[in-house]
Amino acid sequence: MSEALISLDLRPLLAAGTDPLAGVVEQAGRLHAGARMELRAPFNPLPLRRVLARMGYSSWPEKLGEGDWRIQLIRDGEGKVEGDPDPADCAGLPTGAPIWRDGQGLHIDLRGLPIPLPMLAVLRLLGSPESQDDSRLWLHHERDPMFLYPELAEIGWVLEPKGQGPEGELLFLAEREGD
Amino acid sequence: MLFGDFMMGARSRLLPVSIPGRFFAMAVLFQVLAWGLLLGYADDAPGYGGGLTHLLTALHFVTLGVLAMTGMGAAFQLLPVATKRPVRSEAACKATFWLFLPGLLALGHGMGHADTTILAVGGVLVVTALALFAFLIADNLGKVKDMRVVTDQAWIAVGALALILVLAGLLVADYALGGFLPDHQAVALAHGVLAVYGFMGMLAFAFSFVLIPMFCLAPPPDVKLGQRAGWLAGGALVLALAGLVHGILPLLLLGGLLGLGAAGMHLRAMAKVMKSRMRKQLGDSFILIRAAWVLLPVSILVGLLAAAGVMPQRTGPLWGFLAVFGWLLTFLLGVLQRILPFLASMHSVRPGVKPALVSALTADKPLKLHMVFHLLALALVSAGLAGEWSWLVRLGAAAGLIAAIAYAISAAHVGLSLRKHLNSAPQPTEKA
Repeated sequence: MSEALISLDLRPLLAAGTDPLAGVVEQAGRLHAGARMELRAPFNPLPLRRVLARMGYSSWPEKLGEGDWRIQLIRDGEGKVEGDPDPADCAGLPTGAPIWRDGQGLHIDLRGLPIPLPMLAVLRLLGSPESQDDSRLWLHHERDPMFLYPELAEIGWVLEPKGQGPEGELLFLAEREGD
Repeated sequence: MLFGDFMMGARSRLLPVSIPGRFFAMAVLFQVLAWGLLLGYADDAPGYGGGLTHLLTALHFVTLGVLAMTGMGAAFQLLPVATKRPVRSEAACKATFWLFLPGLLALGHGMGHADTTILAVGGVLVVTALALFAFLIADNLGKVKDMRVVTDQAWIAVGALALILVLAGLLVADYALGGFLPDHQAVALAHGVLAVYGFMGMLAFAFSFVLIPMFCLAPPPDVKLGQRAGWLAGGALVLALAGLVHGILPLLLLGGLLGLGAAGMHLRAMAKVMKSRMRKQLGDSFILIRAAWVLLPVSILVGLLAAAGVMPQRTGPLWGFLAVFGWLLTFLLGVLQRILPFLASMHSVRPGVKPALVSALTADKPLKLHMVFHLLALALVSAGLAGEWSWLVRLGAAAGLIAAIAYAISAAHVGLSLRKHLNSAPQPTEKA
């Protein structure tokens, strides 16, 4: 693989408690098609890779040692997230909630996340550049997210239950007010 | 599946607003009463070492009237949501309140007027109410397999509560039956240490692991650190109690030092949460919460000085004040500032209707006034107790009373705004 255009070491930022998502997304957005990027992180940053995948980046993780991961990315337009990570390696992540898009709109799966990660994941997603054009977000959950209603109302979104899926899955729809 | 059926299943964990609301409303009023009593009997505060006085009433109006009352309301409201298990019985929650409120009023009257009969009646009612509360919480925690930190700490709190109730029963009986305890003061101190650092302290630790990350939008706290803090605190309590009851000073001091270590671990876990938070502007409530975090270890250090016999006339009352008013009350008020509007907003959720905004439910000016005067009260009363100046204690209590009234105004604003929102909202329509 040829040399990366941008190499970012996220470890000092994460050690200082700073969320690197916005910075990485900003840098990644400036690169042209076919450009390469390399990240170093203390864990396999799966949600970050998923965010970058939606920007057309395919990525490959490589564990160099304990608490030392190298992620190589290429903006090939395919957005493949390869290398099935061990969930334990994602323990240090802010959320870890899977996010995807289909004909109904943007979805986030919050099942299995301890309090308050579901709320954190949803608010992060709604505040990220990826969701700026979305006015509907489907939440897949295992409980009624009571703490989320006030937080969403405060930022102009209304949450409503939409029914029950298989295996106890509960479905909710958050809609931006006025849309 | 019908929308109504779905909602019934999902929402059944959220109790009707009147149940937690009655606990919170009484807690707000008891805070006013407690500061008022301290203001009225400030001359007795410097050098206070226990006994049936209005100061003991003031102390219990904070510990039971504000802290336990809020703890019960919050636990009935939040624990079922967090554990995904509904509370066993709404009627039992109401019964807890209706046993506790008259019991506390009787207990307070008995303490203030040294009326041992009323004291005993109040004591029986309060002990029964708290035992019922402990049963309901233990029942809810019993089948929870996740949330190890919260459940570990809540179990220690429940265990401490059981022991507190036994000691409280002994103390009340000792007053009523003419003194059979060999060392009433030691048992009273053990009861106080268990109440402050055991029951209420561990509940505060447990709630912190859920509420603080939620307030500041941060990942969950360090589980191992939280568990270690809980276990260490449990060990510290056992040692301190053994030291107090058997009169073995080194054990008491060792318990205090371990308690200091547990507090340090808890604060370290909280510091990590604060560092990784997404919400940077936390508002005035976190000024109170941060002040309480500082006063937790300070209270233990002052308690250690009192136990070691360093100016006990000054350090003894100061320890009690810093632990109850400084650490616990300040922490609770900081949390309440945030959570009361939040809970009210949760209760305003209706299908097809926008919930009441937290910002609209929050009365900023009274809360700001409350924060400033509460901190002023802490500083003045602490200085008064340290210097044995009753005029300064009185001045501080006056500031505390102003703060408590300001807080009551803000709480009334929450209740009235919620009622207005619910009355103005259109009726929900059922849909498939």
